Amino acid sequence: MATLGEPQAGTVVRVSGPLMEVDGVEGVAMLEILAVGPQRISAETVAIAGNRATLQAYEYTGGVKAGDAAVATGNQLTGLLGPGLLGQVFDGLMRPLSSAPLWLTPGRSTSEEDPGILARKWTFVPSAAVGEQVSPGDVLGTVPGAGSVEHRVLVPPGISGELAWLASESQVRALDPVARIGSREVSLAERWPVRSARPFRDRPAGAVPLHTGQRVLDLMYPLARGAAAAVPGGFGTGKTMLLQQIAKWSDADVIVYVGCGERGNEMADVLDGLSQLVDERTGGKLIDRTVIIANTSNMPMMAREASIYTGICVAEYYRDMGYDVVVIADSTSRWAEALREFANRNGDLPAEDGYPANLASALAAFYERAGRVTTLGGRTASVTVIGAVSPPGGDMTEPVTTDTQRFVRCLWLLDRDLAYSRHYPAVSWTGSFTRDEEAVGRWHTANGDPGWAKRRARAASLLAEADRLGDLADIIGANSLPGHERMVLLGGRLLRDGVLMQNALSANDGFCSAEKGAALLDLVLDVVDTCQKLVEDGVPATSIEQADHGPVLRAREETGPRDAAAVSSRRAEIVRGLEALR
Amino acid sequence: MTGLPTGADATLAPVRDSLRAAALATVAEIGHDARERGQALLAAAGREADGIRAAAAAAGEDAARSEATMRSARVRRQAHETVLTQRNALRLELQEKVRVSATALRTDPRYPDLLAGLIERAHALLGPDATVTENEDGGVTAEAGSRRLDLSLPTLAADTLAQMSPEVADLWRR
Amino acid sequence: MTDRTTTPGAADSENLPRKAEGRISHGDVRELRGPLLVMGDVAGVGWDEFASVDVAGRERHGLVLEVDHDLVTLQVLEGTDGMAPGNIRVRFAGQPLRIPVGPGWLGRVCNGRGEPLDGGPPVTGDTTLPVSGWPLNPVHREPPQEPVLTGISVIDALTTLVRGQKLPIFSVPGLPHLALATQIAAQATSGGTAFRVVFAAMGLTHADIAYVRDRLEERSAAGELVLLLNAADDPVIERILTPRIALTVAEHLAYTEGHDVLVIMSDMTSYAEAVREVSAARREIPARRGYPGYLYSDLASLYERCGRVRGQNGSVTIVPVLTMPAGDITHPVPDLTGYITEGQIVLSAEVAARGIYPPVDALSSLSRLMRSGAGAGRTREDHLDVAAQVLAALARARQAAELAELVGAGALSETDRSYIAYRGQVESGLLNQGHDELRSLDDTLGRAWSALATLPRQELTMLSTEFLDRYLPEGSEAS
Repeated sequence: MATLGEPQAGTVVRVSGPLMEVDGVEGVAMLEILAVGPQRISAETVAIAGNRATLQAYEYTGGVKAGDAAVATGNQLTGLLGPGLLGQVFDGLMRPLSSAPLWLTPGRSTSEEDPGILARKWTFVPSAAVGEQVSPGDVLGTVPGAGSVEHRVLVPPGISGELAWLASESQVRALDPVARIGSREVSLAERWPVRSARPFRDRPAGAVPLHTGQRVLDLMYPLARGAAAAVPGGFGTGKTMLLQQIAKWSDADVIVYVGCGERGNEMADVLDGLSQLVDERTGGKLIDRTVIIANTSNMPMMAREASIYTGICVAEYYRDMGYDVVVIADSTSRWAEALREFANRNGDLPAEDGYPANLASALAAFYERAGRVTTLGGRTASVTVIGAVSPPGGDMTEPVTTDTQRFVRCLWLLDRDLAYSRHYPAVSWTGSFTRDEEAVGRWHTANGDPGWAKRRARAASLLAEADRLGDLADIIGANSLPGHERMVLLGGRLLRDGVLMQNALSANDGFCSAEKGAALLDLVLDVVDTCQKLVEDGVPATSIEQADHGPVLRAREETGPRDAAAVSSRRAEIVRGLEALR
Repeated sequence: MTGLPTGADATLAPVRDSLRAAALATVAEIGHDARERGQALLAAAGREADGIRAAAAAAGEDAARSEATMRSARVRRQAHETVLTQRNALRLELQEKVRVSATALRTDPRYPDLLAGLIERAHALLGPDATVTENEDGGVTAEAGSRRLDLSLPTLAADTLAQMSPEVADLWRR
Repeated sequence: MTDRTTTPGAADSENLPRKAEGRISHGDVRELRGPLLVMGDVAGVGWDEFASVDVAGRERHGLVLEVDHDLVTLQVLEGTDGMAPGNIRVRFAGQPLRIPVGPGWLGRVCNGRGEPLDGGPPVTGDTTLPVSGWPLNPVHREPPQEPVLTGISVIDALTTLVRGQKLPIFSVPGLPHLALATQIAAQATSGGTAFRVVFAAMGLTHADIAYVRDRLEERSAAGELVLLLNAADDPVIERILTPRIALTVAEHLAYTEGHDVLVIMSDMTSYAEAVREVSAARREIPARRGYPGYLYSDLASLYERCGRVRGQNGSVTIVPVLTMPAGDITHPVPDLTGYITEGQIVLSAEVAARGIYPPVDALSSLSRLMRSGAGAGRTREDHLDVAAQVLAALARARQAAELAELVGAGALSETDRSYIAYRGQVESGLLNQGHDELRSLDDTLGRAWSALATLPRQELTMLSTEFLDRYLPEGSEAS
């Protein structure tokens, strides 16, 4: 806990929505939390001039008057990090929602932790030895039954020395001490100011792909662990659906899902969905590897601003234990709007579209907290960040979208035309990019799939060529094109509908293993090659086009999610069927 | 509001009690009859609406049926509106009676005490320098700078009635 | 401070006698600007507090937008026309605006501030609630999954509405969006039960209001309808309050009284314009097209009040109606609405021009919750796949039609021609229907299958062989 000085009482002099100004609070520090008014609502110090502080309130300020008291708490906005996070839902200030009442009224102060969380007892199993020299990141013990990953209790940053005492296997509460290092006591849970990045040793070279289970991403625009991706898309393009699929199916150890200014029904849906799905790797439920931070669009706006940092902070906590963590933030645009709203009320000079001038640096600071690192304890672990962007009017030139593109390794651009023709996921192959294709290609080569890069390149060129010819065909009609070009058009369609499209609702198709994805793509490319040969040999293009391509297109739905062999086994029969057209 | 003597509103309690009693008496006097009249009206409208529909059903034509549906709904709406208007008239009547009985408090033997209490209250709210004037309908009004305070009996009566609404609203509630 | 089980923010203090402080009126007017009134020499007034403004003996109402030392800025709901520094007395309520709630609202017709227009006394109730409502804890939300059957084919088949959803109608002036909205209100059922309807009209013409009242006459007479009417010539700023009153009434009817409530709010563009007007008067920095940066959060504070609550009966389903200025779907009001709502039903002038009612552009329309509200166990096993196939084929048909305009129908392939025939069949057989025609779901899906039957069977790649064998009409083109 960062103690910043003696608590002080000041007086509210101005209230305008979430912005409050307070007089008479000498000694208050930037980011310090104050409790304001009779309901002691939480507000964070964002500017200080003389003895006047400007605060952003984390609650509805209705009824706060000029003359109300504002009491300094001495703390920054902190999260209580310990066992009991996985499987739970928190608000943007990391207060548990699972135990909160139906209607979220103000006055649930940050200073009072949830008694349920503090009272709950956990089994601590020591693993270090008393008398050892320990340093930050070393494992002191574990806590079984705290989610689907082994919960490791680490020596916190900034503490090292001889392990003077370690609790024996026992039942302890979150704030009970479990070890003494030198003269410092270490408790089961620790507090960390959410806006500060947790330290690590270094960033090792090399890229390891995150397998998302979504073919268009894994085959075409792969994301490396520890990298950042942005998903811009207008409304109705399936952004949330794609993010939910990644939350369900990606091969990370821990998922932190931040619902930042989005729909309440959606959060309920994520919670419900993950609670029902089985985690194949552990046999438990997917929710047990997930922490949900929910600050829906009707919850107080400034807590929305904080929720992004709360999410990252939780992710870094699990990273330090040695896990690969994915943070999904939906939507960073709503976070940026909260920044803008407050800056405007504060009278800051606006830059583009009314956003504050520090928008780009704020975005950079957020995405830079992603990384694949060697932790203080020497483990390799990662925080991967996937941020949704909601461009107003689908305008990709607006500030949040353009600034975000500068700081991410991957852009998965969602296309409205694809979505309207019900091509999901509507990831555009003209506007999306990955900066890690070569590194990921090397990883695949070293891990049993040397053909990955070549396959990707062929698919990309087939898509581009089919698009070009499609535009031409729109003008002169496809029948006027030469046969081999018509086969490219056909191939483009098979690739789009049979490989890139994916049915999120299907038991077979919702998730796709890397091997099955490769097999599907190989199947389509083989079919295209066969068709081209047939045309060369004089078979009319029309009869090839009108052949039943159902077996190719239905392969993704009719074979199991990991059944690459079943896909490959279709090949011979499909090719035989085409050869019969001769 | 901060800085005020707690329980200061207690000085107003006798006024409120008298006004409340007057209101409840009026409700008892006019309420029963009003409710009965309203119910009879609605029942009659319901019968008429049903009749229209039955006739249309007998006629059997689609057009006739849909027209009849509309007409029967309109009959009910008109009856409903008549009842609402009637209830509102009752409400206004009640308001007036309560206002009159409030003004009558001026001749009550307790009035001088009451007045003293209101004057004290006015100073508590607006400060010792406030100008306090007795209102011609009873009670006081006070002024200090740009702030004014209305503690006249008719105003207090209207407030009391407004706060009683759950108790007396059965008069004009469905 | 609140009842933690059912009712949002039902505080103990609300029915206590109004303190005598409430009888203090203030007269130190510092500024009048647009809808704003700035008062000086005021102490002890809280942000968002409600106030009554006496203007030469007539009452208006205000909400506190800012408190700065002894200055208080109010927005005056009825506007500041005719107000002068000498004729204004302001009294503060001591708390944000609360309204009485309960079944007393049913069957009533009120203005945009909730005051009676039907000749009756003010609506009363045993409880009062703050009109701004409180956020519903997302953990307590039940994901919406029971279908609402509207009897309107295009909605039931392709953009199924789900109980507890917010699904807007995007339209342009001149299209029958009100006819569609009232048809939904009149016909919608869920699990065989009809809805209580709260209709909030904002800036509608008197002709439109008369139309709505006539169409929903029967629901009103049956005591199942609440009408809150702010007409085009009513005070603009009052529109900011209208939907909040509607939703507060609806939440109570739903979560305390256990009803399924449908809230229709029309026209949200007029609402947003009122928000913009206040913002402009406050000289706030606009985001897009003069609308304030907080419009998203403002709209969300309305739309998010839909939903279902775990372990409780009752639901709030919201159908906002908005007209897109110049038909532009990227305009801030439809754009921000689309980001918040769970899909959209888009009406198109082009479809209307082909004589189709309701003129829904099926490809631009979407119900995000359909996947959980339709299909096996909800509507019918084939529903989701049929909808996906109908839409995918419509997308292809649209391409074919565009191509036919360029190169002539004669140059099209046989397959493309079948798609054009298919589109005609979808429009006349499935989409087009009467203003008070109520179709069963089986009828609707049967019509969808009949349209699909005009396509060659190998084109129906999104339907399993099993469904094709079971549902595809005999003797069709496709068999």
